[in-house]
Amino acid sequence: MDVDRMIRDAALETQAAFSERPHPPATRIANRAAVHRFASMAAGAVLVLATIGVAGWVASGGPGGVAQMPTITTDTAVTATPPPDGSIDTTSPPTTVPDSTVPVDDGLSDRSAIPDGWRDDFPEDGRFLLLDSGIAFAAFPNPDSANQWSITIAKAPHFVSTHTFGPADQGVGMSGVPEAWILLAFSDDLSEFVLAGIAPADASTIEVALGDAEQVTIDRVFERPEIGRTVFAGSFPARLLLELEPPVPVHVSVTGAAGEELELPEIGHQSSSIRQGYTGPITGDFFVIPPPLLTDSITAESLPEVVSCQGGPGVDDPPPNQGREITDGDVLPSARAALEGLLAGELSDSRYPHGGYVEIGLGDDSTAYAFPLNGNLEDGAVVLIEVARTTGGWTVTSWETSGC
Amino acid sequence: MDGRAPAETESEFQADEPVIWPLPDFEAFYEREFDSVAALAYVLSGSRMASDDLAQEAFLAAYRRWREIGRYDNPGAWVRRVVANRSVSLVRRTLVRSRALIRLGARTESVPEMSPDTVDVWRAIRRLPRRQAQATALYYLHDLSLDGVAAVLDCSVETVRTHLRRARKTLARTLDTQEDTDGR
Repeated sequence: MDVDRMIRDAALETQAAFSERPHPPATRIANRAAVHRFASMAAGAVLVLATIGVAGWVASGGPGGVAQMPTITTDTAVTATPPPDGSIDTTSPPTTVPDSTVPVDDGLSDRSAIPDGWRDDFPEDGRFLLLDSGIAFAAFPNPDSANQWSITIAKAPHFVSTHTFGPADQGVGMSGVPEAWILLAFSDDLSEFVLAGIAPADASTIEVALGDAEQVTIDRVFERPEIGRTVFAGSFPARLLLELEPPVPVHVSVTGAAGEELELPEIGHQSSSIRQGYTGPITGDFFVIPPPLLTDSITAESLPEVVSCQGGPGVDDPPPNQGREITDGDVLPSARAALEGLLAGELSDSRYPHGGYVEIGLGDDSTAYAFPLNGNLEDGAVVLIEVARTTGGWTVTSWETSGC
Repeated sequence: MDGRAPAETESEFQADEPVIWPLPDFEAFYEREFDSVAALAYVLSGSRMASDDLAQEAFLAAYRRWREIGRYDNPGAWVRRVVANRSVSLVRRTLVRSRALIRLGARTESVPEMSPDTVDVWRAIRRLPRRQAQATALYYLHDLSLDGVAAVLDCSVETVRTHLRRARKTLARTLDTQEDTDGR
């Protein structure tokens, strides 16, 4: 067979394959046009779905008292009001949870500022902040539980926008938000709707439902014992939202394994936004909780294998591993300093993890640092950096990362 | 309108004029062309899963300028140019997607199934120089004439002919088959 025939055969098969499968409805283009319009208005902010509800924070003991979290629930109400024009005000914090230590700007709770059509979605006893862009923040008691509060961020007709909530160190921070919370956002390319949450480390059941029936898979759970938390994340195609008539509720619940009430450890760790969504750095944590540079130190006779990117359905060409041998690296006073130097230089890109490495002593005056796959070196390494003793100190001799 | 697709510039994607659904003729245009454009996106990007996204982006761009695009003799050529021009960025995005997949594990999305031979052919084409790959994909996948390919790629017919000749020569070697001799 000549090359012309070979390509023609491939073309015929490809045309048939694409024509036989259902393609997205044309109406989605209209929806995406609306999304783009909001994205433009949002001036680079992350698009987030209508309501973020956070509950399960029980301040029954007041400051310093015991906080309990039997469940985390969110109910997302999506409104359908045309969006006002304007830009996001990222300087004013929204109202927040009922903690006496958290300042609440009562001057921002003017319900009259809420556009017609929205008011019914905002409880009378809530506190509100309506930004010029038409984005509204609200904090209000959960109607199902007197000691639970919800935080709502709404953007007509389907979307809301925010930079960050969590500790008030970034963007539109919400200081005082309890560490058990959930964040919902679109991925950068708007094709996916991602959610991420943080819960006590011993939370074992996390369930998410979209609408009445759609189950959303929690496909990423990070146990972070060093901070006493479990961080979880999931996603579903954004089309599921766009194809549903608003309001679209998103339900999230977290319970203990035996249904027991879970105690919340102390508050104080920082979490940043999931604005990068699934296109984020290789560390993959939607909540970038900076881990220590080294999490463990072991000795071994051999190095873990750097895993290859497996791609996934529809990805025919997963990227190969990357890395290189280094013969002229800086000589630094310790192996750790050599690692830090590499991470600050050649691997400074955010795609590479800058913490969470396991130090591997090899017993031959060389050391390696491995970022474990799935937190377990037995599964392999995502990054492997080799350091060797040399005249006057230590130097990096090679590094390799998974193409993913 | 000379039959060539008008230039696609980034600024065109910043247009934010209000649009009201349905737009005249757009839905029919979308239904008629989507699968073909998505197939082109796959061939040039290598990602069957992401191809719909790229195709939708192209149609979204057309949608937002439909008052103008809809009057063209061949709005499909404009959409194909958008896909072709964005193939590089989609490749990059595909790599990002693959990063996500290894983190998240396999997900169950419906993607077109194709034989290994077909996958190999398109993989080889993607490894060609970009313009050769675009010309080859448009010529074979969409069965465009040399004039049609030239219109989409905004180049001369002779340039298209050269791209195709060089592409076939390379592909014959990489696919370990015979170079055809039809003289195009």
